Amino acid sequence: MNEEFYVGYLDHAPPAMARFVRRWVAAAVVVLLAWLAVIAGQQSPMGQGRFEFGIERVFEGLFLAEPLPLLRVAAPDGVGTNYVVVGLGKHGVPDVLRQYHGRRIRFRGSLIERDGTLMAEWNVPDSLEVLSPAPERDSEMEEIVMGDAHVAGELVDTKCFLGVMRPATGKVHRACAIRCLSGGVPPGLLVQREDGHAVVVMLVSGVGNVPWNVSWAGRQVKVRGVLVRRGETLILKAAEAALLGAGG
Amino acid sequence: MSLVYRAIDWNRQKRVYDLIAWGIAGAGLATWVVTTLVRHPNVTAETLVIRASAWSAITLLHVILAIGPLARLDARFLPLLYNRRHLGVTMFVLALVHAVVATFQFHALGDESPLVSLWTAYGSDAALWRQAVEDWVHVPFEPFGVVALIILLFMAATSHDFWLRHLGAVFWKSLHLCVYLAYGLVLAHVALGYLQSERGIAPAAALGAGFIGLATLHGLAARQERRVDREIHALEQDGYVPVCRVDGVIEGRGRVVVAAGRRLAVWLHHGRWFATSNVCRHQGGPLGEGRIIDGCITCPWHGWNYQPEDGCSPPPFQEIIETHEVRVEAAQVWVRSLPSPLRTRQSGALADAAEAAAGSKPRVDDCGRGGACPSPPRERADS
Repeated sequence: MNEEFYVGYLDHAPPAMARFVRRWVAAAVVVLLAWLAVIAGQQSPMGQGRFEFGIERVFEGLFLAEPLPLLRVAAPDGVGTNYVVVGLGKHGVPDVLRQYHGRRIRFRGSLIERDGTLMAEWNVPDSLEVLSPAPERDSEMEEIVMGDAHVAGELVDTKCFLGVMRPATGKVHRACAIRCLSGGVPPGLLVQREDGHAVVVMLVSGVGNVPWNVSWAGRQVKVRGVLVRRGETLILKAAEAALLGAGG
Repeated sequence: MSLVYRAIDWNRQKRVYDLIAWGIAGAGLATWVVTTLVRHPNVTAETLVIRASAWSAITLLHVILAIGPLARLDARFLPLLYNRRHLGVTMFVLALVHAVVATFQFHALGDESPLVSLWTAYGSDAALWRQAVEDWVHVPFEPFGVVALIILLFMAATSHDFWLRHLGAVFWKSLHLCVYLAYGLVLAHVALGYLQSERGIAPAAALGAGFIGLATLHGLAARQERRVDREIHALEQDGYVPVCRVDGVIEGRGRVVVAAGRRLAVWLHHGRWFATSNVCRHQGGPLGEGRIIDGCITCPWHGWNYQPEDGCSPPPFQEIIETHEVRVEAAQVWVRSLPSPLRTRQSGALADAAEAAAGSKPRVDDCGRGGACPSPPRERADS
């Protein structure tokens, strides 16, 4: 019969009992830390992209509100670059900016970037300056129709996907993607290419009503529509959309 | 002669326990953060915090749930049980960090209140139920985590003995047994969320192993408890039940026995036999597994004290447990199955040395196994 008896409010545990507990705790710590390390090490890739949170840049260019909020920024060599424009948090471009469709504007915000796709978060509202009194045209931003397309992939919110969140796909991020799409962040279709790489195609409605539901975010969706290009930005103008798989 | 009572503050054992608990929690967080940064340097700080706190909390929850059955199976684990609530509060803090950061990350700064979005982001209630029937993998995982956190919040908030005293031991213990419901909800939260997004098998395997391990420990502990309960003697006569032989307990110790379907504790104290309830008023601890220290029955779980003669805690404490009359005859301890009125002072049954030495007499432990049973007592041995 064990002679030792533990009383917690005394300053010292019985020696043999203390030794026993120390050994078991040490063994348990090793096992549990190994458990955590294995689980942490097996996490799926987080995704690429970057978000210059807290870093302000000046963005200046020709703004197009439709079909996708784009800022065409001219480079010194004359070749322009498109920035998708979004608002702060889980919001798309605000209405106050949409009224300047076709105008040259300047604002301060933060850069979001992934695989050459650029996005500007307008997060300093009082920094907006309208530089041209009347709408302008940029021939590089004219819409070029690429053809009909049937595309399947995960419906993502492009702001998170391009770098704000890593990871920004799947079930754990689904509620966030729903909030972002509901708040006006442009949706995208994450398409798995045959070479293994994933690309995101900007998605806009090609018909009167939006043919998808924001609650489909984070799930596999198939879309039929017309693929167009404005500058280097590919845009899928969706005519039909449906959930893929069971329960759709 | 006078007694001085000293409040139990953070004594050395509590401080060591807390330092080790926080050290383990910190080591868990650090392990997750370092491993993730090495494997996925592009991870965001928010994702690191959300996942590191979540998995550290889940790991700690498994430890907490394992301590109970381990202490039942081997009393040497009792030092882990004594301050288990500190582990619980630490685990709740980790879970709270996870919940707050995740709610802000995934639900705040949008077009809906984050606390509403937690419940409604995926759609209306009716649609959710339809979805659950059709395809369970798309069922929202957030509500399971929210309900689990609420349970853990109530448990952490009421973990102090102030609440135990005001809520009553039965309600308090029932509330804290909800940790098993919280555990189930956490498993559902992870299975419907994280496991749906991850390709690796490690998290699912770890959770499965954890569940099987906990179920096994609880099963073994339950089997051991049932073994005690099986020692039921159907020999009640004159209201007394034989519970054990006089050589079954040594001086200063207790023993858990079963009389008329109830667990009691019998004690040998200064050569006299006493019997009390086996249930500590504090958290229902098994008194019969305790000792008599400084003349008081001492609970093995948290050291609460009761006098074996009247079941009262020593002044100024006011807790009382039931006592039972005891007889000793034919080297056998007999306990009256009905308790005496509270505060009844028992004189204790004096063991007859000659009878105690009569080892050749039939043993009650043999009853039901073909052995002959002793006669019921004719007169009170303690009268």
